[in-house]
Amino acid sequence: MSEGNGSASGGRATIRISGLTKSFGDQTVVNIDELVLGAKPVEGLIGPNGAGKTTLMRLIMRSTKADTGSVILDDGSGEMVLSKLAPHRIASLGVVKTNQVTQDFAGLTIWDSLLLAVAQRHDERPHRIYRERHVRESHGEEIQSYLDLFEFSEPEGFAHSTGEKKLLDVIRCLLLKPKILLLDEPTAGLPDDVTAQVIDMLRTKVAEGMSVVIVEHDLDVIWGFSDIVHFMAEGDVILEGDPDYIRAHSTVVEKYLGSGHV
Amino acid sequence: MSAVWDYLFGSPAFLIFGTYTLMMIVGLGILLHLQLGVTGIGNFGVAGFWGAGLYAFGIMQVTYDVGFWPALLVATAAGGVLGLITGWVIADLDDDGVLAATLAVATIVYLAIDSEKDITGGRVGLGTIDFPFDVGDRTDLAWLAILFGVVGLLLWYARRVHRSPYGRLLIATGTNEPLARSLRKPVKRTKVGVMALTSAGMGALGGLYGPIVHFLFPTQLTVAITVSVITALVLGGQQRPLGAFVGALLTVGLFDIAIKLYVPLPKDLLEHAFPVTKQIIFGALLIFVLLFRPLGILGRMRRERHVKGLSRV
Amino acid sequence: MDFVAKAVIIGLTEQAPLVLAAMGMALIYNLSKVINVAFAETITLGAYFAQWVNVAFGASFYLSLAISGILAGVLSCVTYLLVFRTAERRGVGPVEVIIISLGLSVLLRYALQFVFGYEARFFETPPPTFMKLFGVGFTSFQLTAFILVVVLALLFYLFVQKTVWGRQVRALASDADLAKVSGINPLLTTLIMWFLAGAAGGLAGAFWGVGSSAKPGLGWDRFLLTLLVVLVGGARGLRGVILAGMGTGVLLSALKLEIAPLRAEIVLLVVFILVLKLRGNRFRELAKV
Repeated sequence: MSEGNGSASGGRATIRISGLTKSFGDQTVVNIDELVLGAKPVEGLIGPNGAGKTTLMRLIMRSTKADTGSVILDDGSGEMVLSKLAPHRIASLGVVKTNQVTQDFAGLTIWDSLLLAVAQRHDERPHRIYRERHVRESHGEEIQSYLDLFEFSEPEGFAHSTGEKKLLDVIRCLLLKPKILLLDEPTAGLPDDVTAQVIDMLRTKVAEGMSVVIVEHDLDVIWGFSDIVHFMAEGDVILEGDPDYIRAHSTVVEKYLGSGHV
Repeated sequence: MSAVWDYLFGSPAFLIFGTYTLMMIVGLGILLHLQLGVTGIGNFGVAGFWGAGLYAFGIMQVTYDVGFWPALLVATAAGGVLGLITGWVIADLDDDGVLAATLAVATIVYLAIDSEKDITGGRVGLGTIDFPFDVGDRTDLAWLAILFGVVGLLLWYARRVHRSPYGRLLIATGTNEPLARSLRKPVKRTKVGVMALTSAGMGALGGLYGPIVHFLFPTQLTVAITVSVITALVLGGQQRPLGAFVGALLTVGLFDIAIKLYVPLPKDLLEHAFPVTKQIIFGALLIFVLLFRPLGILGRMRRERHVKGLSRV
Repeated sequence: MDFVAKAVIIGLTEQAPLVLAAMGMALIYNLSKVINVAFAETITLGAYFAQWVNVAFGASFYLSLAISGILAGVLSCVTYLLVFRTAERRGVGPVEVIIISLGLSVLLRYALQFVFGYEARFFETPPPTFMKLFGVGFTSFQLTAFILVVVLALLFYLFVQKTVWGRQVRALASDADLAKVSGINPLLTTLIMWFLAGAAGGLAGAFWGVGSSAKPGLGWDRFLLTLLVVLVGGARGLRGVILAGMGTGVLLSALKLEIAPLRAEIVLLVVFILVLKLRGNRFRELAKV
């Protein structure tokens, strides 16, 4: 771990991507020369279907392995090469991602799922069989505050709907206190009022220092929430700029929004 | 009254031996529950881990003339090391690979015992192994009490695991590995760890079985042990700590104690048709339970009860 | 050179049935992703069927072989319809399907003892002719088994790669929904595969049986090796299975020429475990994060 040469973004953690490529068969899905994520508090990532947004996020998390290239995390105190680490190590360094496709642990209740997220490595040793109370006492209130914020039909039982599971996914990630949170369509399947609540909650976290990179098909969320928007097409980021700039850009309109959208 | 007593306990040696077997199956079943029911690792080589402990104990006692406690320690370590290696092998294999690897480990244990006759006695057998204490007539009964204690301890531990962050980590690993990984859980290490720990337990149980049989043969570690344990656990409920106990009572308890001891079967029937029928029923039970009631008699884990219980403590 | 020649000849002739059995198991594995532990009993029953036809009807070994293959194929289809199809429809998980097939394996292994008796049963065939090549002896049965394996392997390969049926099977294996839309009858195609798989297993059993005897543990004793060959070679299709099977045979005989047979088997298993570990066999990730 080498000392960082001064974090570019005033204390915010950034992810620097260089020469990152990924192909499935003979189709190149991601091909990014240079890209820095996290310099601004909230960064939107948009682009047509198949542009490689989700794959890019998976490559950062290493749930999909890249063909070439490096991903480096600079959290202000030093640089870490994420592209050499195991996925669980990346998460513990503060880079965390929510899931586009609903993910859940069958058999774990809502509380279980959230207690799992907060439990530390030393809480989870096989001989710590009386550790539950400690975990509950040190994180119970935090968990309860999230559960108070949103309405779950059965907070002490299981998540039932896709929406509840989606919400749970976001809360789990927030409980990890990420430095950079990658959101892959976090509000898909949520009712509008809940979407607004989620965005509000994220804003609070961003104000506390967390950076967000968000992929979202609901463009109102992107325009209203992002400080900067990256436009991806054919595996590469071809345009970057503030929401108004991207929204009005002819390439974006032509390739993505369609002429009737502006 | 005394007629009933005589009928039930008239042949204590057989009753005690049947109960030993029952306790072994329950103990192994509780450990398999942690592997299969909680962490989702299909271990088809239970006999191998148990057998490694059994023979390690026997070799220490007979070949190297070591005392009971160090021998038991070696038996536990033998199971544990074998579990550690197996865990390392299977950590990133899917279920088919786990089947192959665990079966292969059990087969290697069997072949090694058969092959290395100088140390293990091979098919001639290894013995004799005695109880580490002598309280006269009822030494076997005292040993049974100890076995009850050990199995009780295992049951207590398994129940505690369900109520601890560790158990939650195991369930998460078993149900959605990639998601657990994304929540910074080291799933590979978790699997290796749980395999080492539970296999050490199987090794220890193997060691404790040594004094019961006095004489060890490789034929004692065939797949029949594994099948009995899996059947008991699946029938009782693989996700519940008590599952193996309930299932073992209804299978081993019924066949190896109740029928064998109290139903007067003709000798030739008892020798051939009876064990064969028992296996057929075990096989049929596995099929029917998993097709029509996959979580067995006791059903699914009751996590919500635990959550509710927590807010009260 | 002498050593290599010996190892190759012994390996290929002695383990030819292994290749046949592995091809059968791999057909089911590649189509349905099911590891069927009861395939061991398809092998065992192949030996019993052949022995029964041979002794009860005085049929020649080769006729018994053909009938045994058909019977084992039918048995395989019946187990699919009664057990595995039900499991498929009820959405039983992968570990549970393996345990179900273990249950079926135990059930069949012991039930057949009520039908065929507890004792091993022997074939009544004229003693095989002994032949020699490079100073290595083998029997005419072993040679037949080897030739048959080569022929069947070629036929299987052509069937799966070149015929309409084969294309349908491959389509079904890669995308069941798409295959259904394009007019493939999945049940019939699946049954054909299970039949061919069973037939291959049954023939393997008959060859193993005629070399020694038909006994209840015959298939189970050879199940692990067959499974390992399928898992290691199966990712590369039938060709991979055939190569892995032959490689296993040659390696085992080479080891047995050098060290004690039991130790040779241990070494072989360790090699297989290491190959599995190094290669990893994650075909499917249950969930994508």
